[in-house]
Amino acid sequence: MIDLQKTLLIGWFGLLTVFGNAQQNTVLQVVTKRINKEFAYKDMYEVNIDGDRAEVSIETWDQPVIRIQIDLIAKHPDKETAARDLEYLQYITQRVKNKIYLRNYLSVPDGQSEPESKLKAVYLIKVPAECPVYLKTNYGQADIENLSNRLRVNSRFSQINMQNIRGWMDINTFFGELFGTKLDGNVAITSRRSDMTLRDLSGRFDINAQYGVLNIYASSGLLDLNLHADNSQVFLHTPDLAGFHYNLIAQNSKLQLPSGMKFQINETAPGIKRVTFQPKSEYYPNITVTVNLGSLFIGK
Amino acid sequence: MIERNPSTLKRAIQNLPGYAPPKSMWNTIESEMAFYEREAALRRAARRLPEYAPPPSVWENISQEIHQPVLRKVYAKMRPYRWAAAATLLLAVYSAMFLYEQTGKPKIEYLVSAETGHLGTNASMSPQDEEAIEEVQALFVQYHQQYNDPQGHELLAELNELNAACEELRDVIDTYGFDKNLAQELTKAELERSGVVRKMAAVL
Repeated sequence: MIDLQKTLLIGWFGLLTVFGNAQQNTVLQVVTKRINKEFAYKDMYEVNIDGDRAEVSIETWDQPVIRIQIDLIAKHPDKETAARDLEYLQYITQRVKNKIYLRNYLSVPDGQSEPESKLKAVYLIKVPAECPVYLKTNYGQADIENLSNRLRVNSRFSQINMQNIRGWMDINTFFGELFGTKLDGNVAITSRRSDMTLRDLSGRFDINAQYGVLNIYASSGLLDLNLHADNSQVFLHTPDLAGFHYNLIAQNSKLQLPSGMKFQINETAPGIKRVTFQPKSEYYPNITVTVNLGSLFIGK
Repeated sequence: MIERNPSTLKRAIQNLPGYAPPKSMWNTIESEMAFYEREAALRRAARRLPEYAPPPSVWENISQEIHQPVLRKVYAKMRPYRWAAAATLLLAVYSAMFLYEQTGKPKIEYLVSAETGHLGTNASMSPQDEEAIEEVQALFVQYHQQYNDPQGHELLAELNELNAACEELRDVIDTYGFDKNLAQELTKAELERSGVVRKMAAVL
């Protein structure tokens, strides 16, 4: 049996130990290594980014060129130390067949001391809108805008912001946050221990989530939404509540439905509720949601 | 020089075989002679033709053409090959771009500036907390083996995942330096881990 004092102590340890004492501000020397490179774009070239502790910004422009700027940054009160640690940050910009590989990573030579500076990489990438992109990011952040073909994201401990993306999307996130606005196409999202907020959604969505808070705002252009969530809170907002066909399953979960709509509710087994709603229109989008050990809210 | 055996020589010469040219040879010689006669007549007639001076504009045109740049004259000569030349040039440019992409080094510059801030704290955890978690986890494993609770299996898997995530985040913060977003993510993971450990402790 664990004593009460120890149990309470465990409850507090995270807050007390993560940050320790706040340090006083000082002057940090910022040494930046800026890399610029361009590749001529051809149909179906794919930009393949592997960012480690990186802030990645992907924008589009109307030139058939892929332009890359990578800033490798080291910050330390001592400039010499910052300059030394900066050399531990390595990068790759290379085209192999139809793939353009961009990567940064940390490489400390044998016998050298660990870096003492704050290190990070900042990517600014401009591509034609139709250029497919694959982004892998660890411990960073990404802002992606206006792509129209194919986007794949594999993120860990990162925040992903997507705006005005069309086409085929495959997003995988682990311990992070996902923000998407104006997404239109065939979208597959797999998330674990990540929160997501998706607005103005059109097209078909397939979402699988565990341990997250999901805020989803559909638009009238939504065609299909399949959502499976475990241990999660789901908030689903639709502009025309009665214009969708709903097929909802709540397993040991809290369910909150909009008033004024006649849902058919059946308890198929202890703790399992099945809820359906048939709209009056002949053609309608489908919303299928299964929530297990969580909560589901549906409203405007 | 005096021939010592003239009779022998004469006899040998008489015994040599004789050859006559073919008849067609005489015909060819005759036709060629006739051609030269006609040519001579034409030349004589040409000499008797009157001579006229060309108008000055002709000489002006010739003079302009003579003074044109050499390049234009070359271009005029090369005009029939211009498409081939353009294609070759295009190919050369494309090849150069391809080679530049493959072998061309990116432009690199170094920038130095200063800002106010701090390096942040390290993300290490107090040994007592780590020991407390390990103790609860060990007790819970014993409990789980004894009662084989299916929910216990999920809790253990969750704790293992959170342990690994917290350790990874601490490593990243230690390696790359303090970052607010990563620290928040670590706090979130630690709070979730605390919740799982509390759930485990509650059933012991």
